[in-house]
Amino acid sequence: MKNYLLTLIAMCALSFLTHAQDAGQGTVEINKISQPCVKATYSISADMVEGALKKKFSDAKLGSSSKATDGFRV
Amino acid sequence: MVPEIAKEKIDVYYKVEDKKPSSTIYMLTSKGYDNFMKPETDAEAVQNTINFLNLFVKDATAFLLNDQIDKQNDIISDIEKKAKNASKDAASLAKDKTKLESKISDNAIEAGTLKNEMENEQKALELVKTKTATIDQVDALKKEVSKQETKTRKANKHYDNAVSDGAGYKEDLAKKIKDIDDNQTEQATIKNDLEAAKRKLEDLKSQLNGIK
Repeated sequence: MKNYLLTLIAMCALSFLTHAQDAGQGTVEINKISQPCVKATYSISADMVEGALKKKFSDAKLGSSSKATDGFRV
Repeated sequence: MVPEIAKEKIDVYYKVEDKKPSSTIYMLTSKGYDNFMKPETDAEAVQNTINFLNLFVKDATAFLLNDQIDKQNDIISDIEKKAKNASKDAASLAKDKTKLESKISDNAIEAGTLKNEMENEQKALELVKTKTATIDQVDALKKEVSKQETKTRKANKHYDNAVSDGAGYKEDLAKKIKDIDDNQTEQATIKNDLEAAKRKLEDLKSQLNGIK
């Protein structure tokens, strides 16, 4: 019963988190020029999202530059 | 190269905007310099980027849950330290209580003995005061009375001190018993906190397993 409740709570929480975004096309200014981009909103704090993205790129052994271009990381 | 997005080598530019409590990722892909990919010319890559960010919610959620699990483990560790300290305090308090009880018992015996001594000295004083003397024996009798008065005063003082010590020990014991009660309440609270923290950890782990 306890395990069932825990799973149910976990699934509810998870469903809230995993349905909190919907990626789509948009535009964003970079170096004062509007460029097409893809954007997605998550119901997770920015530091966690950024940390997760860095980890994903790092786990995939993708090279990253420490430089930032107009607030964008490469 | 980001295989989920494009087969060729690309640069990925991203920015995470804080929109408390949520956040938005802006992601641009470039074939080099400012040659950014557009939906008109790179439809597949753009769609792949959309898919990438849609699926990324799982990574972000896992990262968040792992972070929360780490923090929850720290919380549990802190509570366990508190429990250990409270348990040590309980052992020390019990030891102090036993010592005080022993002191009270010894004091009761000592006070009984001193009470007898005091009563005996008092009787001796009363007896010496009833004595009569001839004129040439008056000085010696006065000296005897004075000596007995001193002995009686000392015996009274010793008894009073023992009674006072006994009262002090009893007061200390009452405080110690209160400390023991407080410690038991604290230990019960810590136990509840620990159980709640462990339940929360299990919940977080369960959520993490749900997305794997």
